[in-house]
Amino acid sequence: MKTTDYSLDELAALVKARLSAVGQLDIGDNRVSPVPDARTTRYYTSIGLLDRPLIVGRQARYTERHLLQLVAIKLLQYLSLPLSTIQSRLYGLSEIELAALIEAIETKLQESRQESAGSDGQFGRPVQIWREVVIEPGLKLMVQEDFSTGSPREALLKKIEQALSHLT
Amino acid sequence: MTASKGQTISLTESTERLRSLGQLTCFAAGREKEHRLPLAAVDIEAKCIDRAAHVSIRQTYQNNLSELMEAVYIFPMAAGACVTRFEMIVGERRVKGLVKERAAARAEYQEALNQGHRASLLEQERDNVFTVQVGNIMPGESVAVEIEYVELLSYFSDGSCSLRLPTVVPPRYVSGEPLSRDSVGVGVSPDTAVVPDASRISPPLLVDGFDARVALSISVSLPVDAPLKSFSCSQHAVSYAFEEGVKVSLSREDEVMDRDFVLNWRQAKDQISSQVNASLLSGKLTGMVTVLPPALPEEENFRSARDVIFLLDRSGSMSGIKMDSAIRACSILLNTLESRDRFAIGAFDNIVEWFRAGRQRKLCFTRADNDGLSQGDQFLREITARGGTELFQALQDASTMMQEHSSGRQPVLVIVTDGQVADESRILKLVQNRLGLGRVFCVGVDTSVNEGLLKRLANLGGGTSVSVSPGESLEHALTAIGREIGAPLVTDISVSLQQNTGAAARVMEIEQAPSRLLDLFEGRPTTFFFGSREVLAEGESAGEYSVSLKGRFADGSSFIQEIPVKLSGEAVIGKLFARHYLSELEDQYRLNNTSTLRERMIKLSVDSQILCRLTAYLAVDKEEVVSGDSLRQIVQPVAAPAAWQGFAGAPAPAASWNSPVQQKGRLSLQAGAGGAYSQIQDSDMDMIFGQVGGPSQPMPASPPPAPKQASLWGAPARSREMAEPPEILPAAACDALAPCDSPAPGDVGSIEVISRLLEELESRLHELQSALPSKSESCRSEIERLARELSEKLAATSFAFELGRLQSLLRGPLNDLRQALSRSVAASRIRPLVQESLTRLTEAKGEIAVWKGEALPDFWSGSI
Repeated sequence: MKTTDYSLDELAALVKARLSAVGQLDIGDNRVSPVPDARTTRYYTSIGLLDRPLIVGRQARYTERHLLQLVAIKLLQYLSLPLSTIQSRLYGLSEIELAALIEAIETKLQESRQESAGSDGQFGRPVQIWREVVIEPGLKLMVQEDFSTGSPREALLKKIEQALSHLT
Repeated sequence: MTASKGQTISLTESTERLRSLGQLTCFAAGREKEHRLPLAAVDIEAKCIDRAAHVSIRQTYQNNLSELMEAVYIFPMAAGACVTRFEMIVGERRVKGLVKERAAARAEYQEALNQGHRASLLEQERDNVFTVQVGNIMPGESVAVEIEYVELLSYFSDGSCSLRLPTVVPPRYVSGEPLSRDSVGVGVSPDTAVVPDASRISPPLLVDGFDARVALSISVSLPVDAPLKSFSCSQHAVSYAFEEGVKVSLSREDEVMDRDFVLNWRQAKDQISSQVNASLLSGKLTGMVTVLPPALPEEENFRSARDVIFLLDRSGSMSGIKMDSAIRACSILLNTLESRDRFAIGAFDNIVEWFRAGRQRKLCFTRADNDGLSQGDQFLREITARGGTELFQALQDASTMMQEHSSGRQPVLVIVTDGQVADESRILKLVQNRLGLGRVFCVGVDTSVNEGLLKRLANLGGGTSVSVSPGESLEHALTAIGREIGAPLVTDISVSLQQNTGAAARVMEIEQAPSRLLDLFEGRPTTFFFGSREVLAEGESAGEYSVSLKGRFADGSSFIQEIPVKLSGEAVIGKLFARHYLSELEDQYRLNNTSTLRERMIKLSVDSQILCRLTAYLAVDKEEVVSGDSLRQIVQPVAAPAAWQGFAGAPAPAASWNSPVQQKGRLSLQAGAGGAYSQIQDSDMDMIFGQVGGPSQPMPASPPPAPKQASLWGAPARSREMAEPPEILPAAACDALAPCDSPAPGDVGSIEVISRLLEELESRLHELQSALPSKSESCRSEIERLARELSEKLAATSFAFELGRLQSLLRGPLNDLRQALSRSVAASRIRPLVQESLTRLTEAKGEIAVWKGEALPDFWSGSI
């Protein structure tokens, strides 16, 4: 039985495409590196989460099953689970179970996003993410991630100054 | 102030929501089971009788799936184990396993599974690595296998003895290009041209924090009639006396299978003398000969000048405390040399780096005088671990070195390593062929050392081997080998067996194992086996037997010993002979793999029912046929060996915070009894700025003092609560998914907060660095504040266990720094402290990245 197989680069591209399709890569900080390199895949293999590649000629080749395994790992990593938990969840899963798990996570993510979107409308806040800037020890400034000011720079600084003067 | 990337971070509210979402989703998919790992329990029982340990291992496999399961487990047994029994236990039924030719056994096993029978198969991969497969376990069912082996104990003439029970097969370095064929095993390393069965000796690894929950019990009984002296154990153990002796068992129930269980003891009054125990079963006489070398006065032990090559393993798997111990071991042995000896040191990973004295360009031996030795010590101290374990290449280089530069002296090779290589066959072959290497001595350094390789190397190389645990006091352990290096008492030993029937005496033909008898070393009894070639008929066996040994002392005089044979009906002697004879044949087979030899080994193995690499134990339960459409194979993953540093699975050794030992560029690992972990639990603010420690100690002039013996083993076992994955959220926690419109900036216990604190600390340290000598006071209070906050957060996080290493990394240097700052010492002395803190900070950040799965453990930078 001949199945399609991919090189590591092709596989990485497929993983990326799959994750992008559910819009995973654009949220949060970039804590998950989407493109697994040779060393990373070797590590995943050593902990039993990714099957050994097939060796054709002197090249490592990967199949659909490898793709499912990697997408599952990446999704769980995206959910901020530590690797030990990821291992305990994924170890020994069949392809069907992997596919089901991936689907479940994707659905949940979508629901959660819709919920956020709904409530965002309600509260009029489009974004969840804040950045904080430490001005000096004891003084931080918090900024919404996609903040852009309508006022001129000087006016803004003045406002900040005023706000601070209340504190002292 | 300049903006650094440490000052802008995103808040974590969304992350936390995602995390809880992850848990919900995962548990929705597999809520019913905790995990799918098959191995539920391992029970090891050992009885030591007459210098042999009879060990029984019971492995219980549990099917947590909803379909049929085949469990596969790659596991260790003692090097040179003589496997005498294999049984499968299904409910009340015990099914006895039989030794068969390996391919036939595999086919039969597969056939049994196809027919719906439960079956199990035990195969031998290496001297000390085995694979067991248990197939057709029904959902919810437990099936156990029981394995029994006999092992000769190694002991010394002072009555000291040790038993080593391995519990894990560590990752081994695999050389060579992957083969483009299906791998022959279920392990994680692909088969390569050099190691065509790498996939059979490489079990998957558990990530640290994933508790496999294998219930481990070990108990050892020592039947003794005299009190035991100097009793020590690698793990927390309890011992109690009973009528016939002493029983030692593990005291904790949650001991992790990540290291050898080692028990050392000495019997107070123990008469050790040369003896021969033999058994006569169905006309065949087999015997075990123990020879105690004569005790010679020191001055009579003639010793010729030596050329000693030390090969020191500096591969990645040696990182941390193992490297320190290996360096120390090498240094101790180096200093046993006399000034007329010469030495060379080769530190090897993928390549060999040779020690060169002075400004010497050319590679040659260095005289072992004071100057030479101190330069050698200096070279050793600068070695750090990295890269692969090309022991084979190193041996070839050493052989060349020996042939080109050694002359007129006795050549000796000393290898200091953990032995974690997969290409054992070609290494042994090299030593068998290249006698130019001289005598080979091995020092194994690991918590789960590859004794199978090291013992065999030493035996084939005419030397001895010893295994030490990293961190233990090495002086004692190395005394014997230090004395032995290059200087056997008696060589060229030959043996003969006589039968004395009153009037006549006749010499019987025997087969012996090993065929080239081992040389005798001072204070170390040697054991070998023989079997009569002829089968004695009923009336022929009467009479007395005796064994005579002839050899040569180092000064040329002859050594003769005649030992009477004690006859008994002990079947175990016959089995041990078979095992050792099989090893002997294996050595021959390695050089010349003829089909005749192969057939001979298989026949001996099947006839004696002793496992070897060409056969397998098979047990099929024909009583029942199980039902189920699909069979899923699950390979049992194993813990990473203890004290393997930079390894995701390796728990951080406990650090003694009160007396930080500084060591340039390398993490010092002075272990203390309490341990990092227990202290992490109490959330006092002095986590990092602990009790006032002394000022930083100067770098020790000699390699770091070896930590106290108990230290490594005293490292706390992981606690169930903390090792567990973060708690499952109750259904109500779905609310957590609702958007929260004011994110809390100080999100307690979040990994992002800890990362942020590290970043802040880092920028503060940079600031201090550039501002010195001014500003030190304001920076001090700031650093102090950050460190305290970091401590609190670390204590509050639910991953306190996983992050425990951060504490041990940062505490020492930060404490030193704070003290230096508060005493307003000169800026030139503060700078290195700041630098040290920054280095540790980088390491700490790396730790977090590894833990989050973003980065790989250091270990992976150079494969193994």
